[in-house]
Amino acid sequence: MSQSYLRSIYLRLAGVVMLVVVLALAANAYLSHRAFERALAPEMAKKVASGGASARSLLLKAMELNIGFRELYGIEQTFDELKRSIPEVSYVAVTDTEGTILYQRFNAPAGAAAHFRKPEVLVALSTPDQWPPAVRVDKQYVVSMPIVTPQAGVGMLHIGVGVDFVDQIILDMLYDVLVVLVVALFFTLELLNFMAGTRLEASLKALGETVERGASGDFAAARPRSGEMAFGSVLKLLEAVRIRVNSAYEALARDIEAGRRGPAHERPPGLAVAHSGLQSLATRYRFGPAEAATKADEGHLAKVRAPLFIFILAEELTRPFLPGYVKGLLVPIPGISPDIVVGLPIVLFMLIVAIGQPFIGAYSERVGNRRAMLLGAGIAAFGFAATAMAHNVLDLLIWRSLCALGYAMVFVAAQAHVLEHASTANRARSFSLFVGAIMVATVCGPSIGGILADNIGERLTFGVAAVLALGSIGAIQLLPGPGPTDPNRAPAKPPKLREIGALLLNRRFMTVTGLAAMPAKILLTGVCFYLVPLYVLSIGSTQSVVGRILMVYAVAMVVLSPLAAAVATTRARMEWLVGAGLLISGIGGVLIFAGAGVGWVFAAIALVGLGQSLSITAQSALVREHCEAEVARMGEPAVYGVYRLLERLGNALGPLLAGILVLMFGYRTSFISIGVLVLVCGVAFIVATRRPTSPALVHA
Amino acid sequence: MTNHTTSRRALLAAALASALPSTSFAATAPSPAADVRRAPGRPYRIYAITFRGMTEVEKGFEEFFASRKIPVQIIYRDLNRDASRMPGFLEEIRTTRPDLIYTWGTSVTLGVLGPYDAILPHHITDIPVVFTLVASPTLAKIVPELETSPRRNVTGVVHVAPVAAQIKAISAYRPFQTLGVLYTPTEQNSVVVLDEIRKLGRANGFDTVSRTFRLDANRKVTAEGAADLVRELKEAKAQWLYLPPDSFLGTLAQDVIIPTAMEIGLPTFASTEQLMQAGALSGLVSRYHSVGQFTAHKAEQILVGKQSPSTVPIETLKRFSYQVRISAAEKLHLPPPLPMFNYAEIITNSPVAQ
Repeated sequence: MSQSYLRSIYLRLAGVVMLVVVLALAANAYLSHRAFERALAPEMAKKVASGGASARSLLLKAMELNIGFRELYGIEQTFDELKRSIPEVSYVAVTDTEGTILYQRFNAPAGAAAHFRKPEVLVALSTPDQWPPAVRVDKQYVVSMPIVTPQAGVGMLHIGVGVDFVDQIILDMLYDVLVVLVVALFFTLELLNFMAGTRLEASLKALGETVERGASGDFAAARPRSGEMAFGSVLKLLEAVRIRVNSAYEALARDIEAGRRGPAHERPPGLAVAHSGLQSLATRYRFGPAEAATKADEGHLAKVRAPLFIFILAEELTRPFLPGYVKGLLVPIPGISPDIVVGLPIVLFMLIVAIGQPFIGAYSERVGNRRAMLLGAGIAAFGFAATAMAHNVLDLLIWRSLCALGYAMVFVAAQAHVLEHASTANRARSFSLFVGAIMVATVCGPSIGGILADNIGERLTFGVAAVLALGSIGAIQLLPGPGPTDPNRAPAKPPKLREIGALLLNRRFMTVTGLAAMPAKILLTGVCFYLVPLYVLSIGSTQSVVGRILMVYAVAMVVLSPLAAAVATTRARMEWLVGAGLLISGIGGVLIFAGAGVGWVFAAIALVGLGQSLSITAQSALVREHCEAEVARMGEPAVYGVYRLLERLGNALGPLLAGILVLMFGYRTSFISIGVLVLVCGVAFIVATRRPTSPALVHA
Repeated sequence: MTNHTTSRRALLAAALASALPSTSFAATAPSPAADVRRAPGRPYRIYAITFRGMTEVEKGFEEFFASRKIPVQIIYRDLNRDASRMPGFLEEIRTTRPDLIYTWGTSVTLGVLGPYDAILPHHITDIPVVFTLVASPTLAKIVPELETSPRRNVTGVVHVAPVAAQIKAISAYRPFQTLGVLYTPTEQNSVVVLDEIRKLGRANGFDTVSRTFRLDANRKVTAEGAADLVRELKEAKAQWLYLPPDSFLGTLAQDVIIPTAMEIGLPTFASTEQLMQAGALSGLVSRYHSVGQFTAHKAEQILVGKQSPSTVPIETLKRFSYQVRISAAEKLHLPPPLPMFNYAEIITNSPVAQ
């Protein structure tokens, strides 16, 4: 109860804080607009002037070749080119030395013609290499550049930029602030869990226990508690009452015992009654020294969350810019197209994680989870640092493989750590702790990574990832060493080929794995990790935007998947959730058909996130539901081992498939094709899991 | 008709040395040990036959060898448009046995090699030939097809840009509805180019009007009435006069055709640098100098790289030069579009005698 209580308080608090901050931001943006405008206008003027200079040099070249200033041809094409290179340009005009407009294009601000005739504008003709700062004319800032040949001034070039360019910049900043806010929210939740959570939880639990024991009549001396606790004074008070009752009982018992030890004639009258009363007290309540502690300390469990979070965050940082980074390091590889090569580092990473996992599980069991995590984090930290300094795509593949190996080691060992310290009763909750750390990292990582990459560069951001991975080593060292091994637990082992073969041919198993789990992963890595980063950059957007888009996916997962999991209580419901999830996420991919802009990518990825959050929990639960016989025969770990292996192979397939599609059809069609693939799988899944309404209809 | 940016990219000019893939051939440096026909230190001997004296092509050809430090000894012979000189050259080739023969233009090349389906004993079949400035080696029957292999003992450089690129180049200067073409009906090369233009016209929505030079009683092409043909094209609403790589047209371009077109205000577009130099307004052409360098590169592959001529591809340059004669533009009141100053090569000199 304490966990969810804490969470709900926190979320309410966060909601209020968020609202206040957003309102403050909006107010700030509104109030600072003018100031921003004044500060940004000169910068924009510089940018416009540099573009204008090349247009002006063309005009001068034409003059040099004796083409009349009024006979120029194709000047509109030059204006269009200017707008293509500086999209903020909203008006271009060329006037003669009197200020009369000879050529113009796009939307003139009101009063432009009068402005161009002003002497203070035309005076710039006498200073060919200098021009006055941008002047605000109606809703535009206008830069006026003189066109002067060595012989004489011939006219002026005016370029206007709508003041709403400031809005765009402010909006962009607001987005970044919002991203940071969301990240901070999740980050705080994480910290709260780590610092206060375990302590507060323990205190609440102690308080509850004390009250409960008092109420049930257990007055036995309490176990000594370590450290200072919240609600210490209340607890002490309650304990004191209990101790008083306990010691009063003991004193009474001592007195009665002493009385009974005396000669019979000296015994006070009524002793026998008192004795029998004491005995009945002893049966009704519990007194005396406390029993030994039985339960394992849950703190061990929570401690794994912080290092895991930091470590996964390191990898997640790289999501929005890794493909772009690879593109910058491309060298021709004979026989493989560049589009495929860009996806190779992701493919290799996923492949190593998929295939390496079972073997690393066995290794981790042998050397201890803590040691395996330490080694994994070390390898990954080295991998990140080397990636930051990669020479070309070939050595990058090696460094990314190291990152993958480290990732798999930390992932597997942390998972094993959770299992080792969880009792059967709290296993599910422990697992959500593990998944929660990863989910929060997926929210925080890409968005922050995108902002970092835009501002400090891709290589330095890989450096940050290396530092994070190193930092996680510090946190891992705080973990306890190997605990007592549970003799009931089967040792981890890679799935046997025979088991893989048997399950691959099993229709019910493959319905879940091949039609739901693998397509879902192909969509995730192919679209989110490969297509989105490359496509968004290709349409002239930034890595921050990629990060924001990926964050939308993660937030949808974090917020919605617990809700979906709560709904998934029966097999029929699980099947509907998976089917609907596949259809929705498939539609997400197909959505790019409707439009090519960043907004559509946002919408598409939000749908993918929604769809995947619906299906992700139900999907893996369905394996058990669908394959009862196989689970009984091979054991749950074997069946799930094969399931996870195939699912992760889907992870590796995604970028490969996307790369081939891009090579053949371009970005947009690739989005759509993968969407259609998932849609088809979704329909096939629904058809395959639809049970006949009446058994009589089934032909023998 | 065309999108400006694409045409601009297709046409990007300056087909100078940078256009040549010469740097990537560093691996095939001279290896004297493998050379059996040449004593160590002896330069490669090239027998070069020109059609109308020395041009920029030969300068580019020589420069390439000099810059690559390949020792060559070039013996120049000029046909001077006189086919009767050819047998003497062939005799000299047989006695001196050069390492390679360089042939300028279609006539010279055919004189040395003969058409592929009519090779006679006096034609050269056992010495590598590298031709240059041939508009269409297949139509001229130098080779049956560009791609077929094994080919004869010949390779070379085609100097005319693809027709589609030329049409784009014309409309980049001024969009048009009707294109006029003047050509020689007996020159197969021109007939094929015209067919291609008509096909492009159907696809891109422009009309093509054409006139052919008149033939005399002996069915020989004659210059008579050439100026009238230009006027007829103008009357048929032609907005441009396209000058195909037509040999006969080439001889009349500077003195009759282009001056007439200028007189009646019809802009001209050249398919070769020669026609450009004859005074055309604009053209998408291979620079002779670059053609010479590229030809030398092919010769290098044969002489130094020891490749068989039949394995060296017959190609055009990768880039062509967009040339604009500014004096013609001024006279016609047709200034080039402003963005063209970014990539066009502006010709300021007056037409030069061919």
